[in-house]
This record gives sequence, structure tokens and C-alpha cells, in this order.
Amino acid sequence: MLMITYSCNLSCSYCYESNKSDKMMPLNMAKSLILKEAELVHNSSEFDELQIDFMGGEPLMNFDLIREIVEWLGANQLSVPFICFATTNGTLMDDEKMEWFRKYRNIIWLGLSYDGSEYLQQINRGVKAQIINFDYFHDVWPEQGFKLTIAKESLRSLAEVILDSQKKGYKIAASLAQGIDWSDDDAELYLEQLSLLSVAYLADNDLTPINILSRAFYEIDNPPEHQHRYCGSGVYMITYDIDGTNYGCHMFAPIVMGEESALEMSKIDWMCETIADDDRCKNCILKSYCPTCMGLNYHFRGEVSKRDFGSCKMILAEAIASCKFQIKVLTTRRDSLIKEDVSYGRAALVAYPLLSELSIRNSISPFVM
Amino acid sequence: MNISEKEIIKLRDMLNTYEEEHGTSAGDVTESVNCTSCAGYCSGACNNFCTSSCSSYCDGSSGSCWQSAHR
Ligand code: SF4
Ligand code: SF4
Repeated sequence: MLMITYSCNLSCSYCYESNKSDKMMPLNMAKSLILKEAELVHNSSEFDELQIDFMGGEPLMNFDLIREIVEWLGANQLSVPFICFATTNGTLMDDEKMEWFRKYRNIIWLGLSYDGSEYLQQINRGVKAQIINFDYFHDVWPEQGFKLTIAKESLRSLAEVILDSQKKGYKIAASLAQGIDWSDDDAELYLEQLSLLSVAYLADNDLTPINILSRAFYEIDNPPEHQHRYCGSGVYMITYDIDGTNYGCHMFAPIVMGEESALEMSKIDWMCETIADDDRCKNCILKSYCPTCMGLNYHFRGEVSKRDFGSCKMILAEAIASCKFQIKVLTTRRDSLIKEDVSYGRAALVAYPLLSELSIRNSISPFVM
Repeated sequence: MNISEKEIIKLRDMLNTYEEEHGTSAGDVTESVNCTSCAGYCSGACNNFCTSSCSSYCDGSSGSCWQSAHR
């Protein structure tokens, strides 16, 4: 991942990058880092391709660098298979960029991050949804999903917003905004909305269930001693900051942490078995199901392992809704079960009686039986 | 949305029948835990879009992804 700019044209309500500035990564540095990583992949028995993520800020604030790099890669190729990717808020696209990205669509993919509806886009991001050309993104990269961040304000209309987008053919991946103190009321509302989504998916096989309802239950009755990692930060992914310093991921870089607390790659043992262990969650039945972001843990709570207890009830809502949905949907597949369905089904059947004992209002995290 | 005892029994029977017919145990979901790029397991907390970028690059060959298994 290359941090190509510290600058962004928006100020979203849930943004955790609080040290934005007009700093940019120089072109030559970007090129030499890409060559270095390509060489590593080339000589590695473990990796066989390179994904180059352009990150910001808003990456399109440094469109000139993206253009130079992509055209350079297009003309010279690397010694290994590669793909470029950038997440964007979509508001800086103009005709010229649209034409250019279409031309280079096989080298660079753009993923759109948005809030789901015009109203939410306006209150969370202070920008009108109409200025984003959703159809363009869908048309150029039809396989690429849009990323939807679930903020408090989104909860009430969540199912409607997701279904509207999916019915237009857009792929959606949603995740909870972080660092929010969710209340029991929020969690109940969330559960209600996830149930509405489940009913809609059960009624219409053409809709792909949202990722939140699709996470498998594993080891729920027997949580592992050490927490599994949920991402490749510091192992499969390295982030180079605008000055070339490397971090496990952008969350540890100064744009999020500030200069004082930034945690360089070398200052942490990414391979350590206990890196993501939070003692408080040791016996929680949702330990393997509940996502943990080491970067956000470090940012909000000062330790890479320290999870967000403000989200426990939201995770419980996800677990209850997904477990029921998975059981329901699998029972409709009598003649079309595949091996993976069986794994999912077995796991959901183990989870169901445990989750039935829990309730949003009456249960307290960690959820221990 | 409620699940009845009948549905639980039905699913259990379906899974048993599948395993009897296919001879092998269905495999272990935990195999997928180490996947670092899958929508099902990525926390997505980073907003760095890995939750959905994986679907562009993943060919589903690990067979562990619920999304690609949805038919
Ligand atoms: S106690 Fe909360 S944060 Fe910890 S694993 Fe359980 S749900 Fe997740
Ligand atoms: S630590 Fe968090 S922000 Fe960084 S890659 Fe992992 S999930 Fe994403």
C-alpha cells in the first residue's frame, strides 16, 4: 500500500485520519517502492502477485501520480503479475478522469466508498450523492463492490438502502463505523434491519446476501487459545508512507496516529502468535466471529489487541441475525448443497443454541456460557 | 425471524445425508480463518476496501467463501 497523499477533499463524520495535510508521495519514490516489492514477490515462494493499493487521504487528490504510475506500469510491465487498486469517495471524478480510468481499467480498479443514500451521504460526508456517478463505477468495474460504512444515522434505513443498491446490480460490502459507542437501542435496531434483509434475501435468490450475514461461525463452542488475525497487516501487506517509512498498515502511520504515536513496521512483531489476543475476550463465544482491527485497536485504545467493547452488542446482533439466516437459507438448498454449505451449516447449528441464550438487552459482554 | 425445531432437524438431516452420500466429512470451516482477503473474514474495519476488493481478485477456488457459494 502506498500512501500517496495526506490530503482529502471531504471531512466524513466517522473519519479516523485526523492528521491530514497537503503532503504527497514523490513519483520516483513510488516507482522505486513498486520495483522493490515486485522483486520481493518475484523471489518469493509464498507470493505470486503484487497488489498495489493507492491510499490517502483521498487517493484521487494525487491523480497525477496514479496516472504516471499506471501508464508506466502499462508500458513496462513488472516481472510479476500485478493489479492496482484505490478506494475513492468518487467526488473528484470528471470526464477526463473517467475516460482515462476506463482506458486503464485492466490495470487499476477503483472501489467506491459511500454512505448508501443521498440523505446519509449529505449528513455523514457533507456532500451530495448526485455528484457521484454510481453507474460509471458499476459499468467500468462491475465485479467491484461499493463499500458502505454503517454509521448510527444509517441504522434506521439500512435494509432499504442496501436492497435499493443491490437491486440496481451494485455489489455492496458493509461494515460498522468504528470507535462508536453503540447503545442497546442501536443494536436492537440493527438486528431488526438485518432480519429485514434476511427476509428479502430468502424471498429473492437473485440478490447476493450482504457480507455481514455471510460470516461463518467457527469454534464458537470452543474458542481458540489465540485470536486469529483478520487481516494481513504487516505480513501480507506493507504500507509505505509518503516519506517511504513502512508501517503494517495505514492505521499505524502518522496520518492516523500523529507523528508521536505512529508505530513503524519494525517496532512490532507481526508474526507473534499472541499479537491479537485480548484477555478480556478470552472466553467470549464470539471471539472468532467478532472482527478485530489491530490498527483501530491501537488508534483508539493504545494496544493492537485491545478490542472495541463499544461494538459487542452490534456484533451480537450480527451473530444472531446471521445464524438464523444461514440456517434458513441452507434448508432451502436440499438438492443443491455443496461441501462449503455443509461446513457453514454445521457451524451454524452449533452456534444457534448458544446464541439463543443471549439477548441484546440482557446479555453482557464478554458473552460467556 | 424465528427458527423452529423442525428447521433445525431438517438442516441436520440434510447435512447428514450429504455427508453419507459424499462419503467424506464436509471439511472444516476453520480452514478459512487464515484467508486474509476474504469478505467473510476480513474485519473491513480499515475502510481500505479489502472486504470487497477480494471479490474482484478471488477466484473462489478455496471454496471457503460464502459469497461465491451463494447460488
Ligand atoms: S467480548 Fe466483545 S469484543 Fe470481545 S470477542 Fe466478545 S463481542 Fe468481541
Ligand atoms: S489492521 Fe485494521 S486497518 Fe489495518 S489492514 Fe488490518 S483490518 Fe485493515
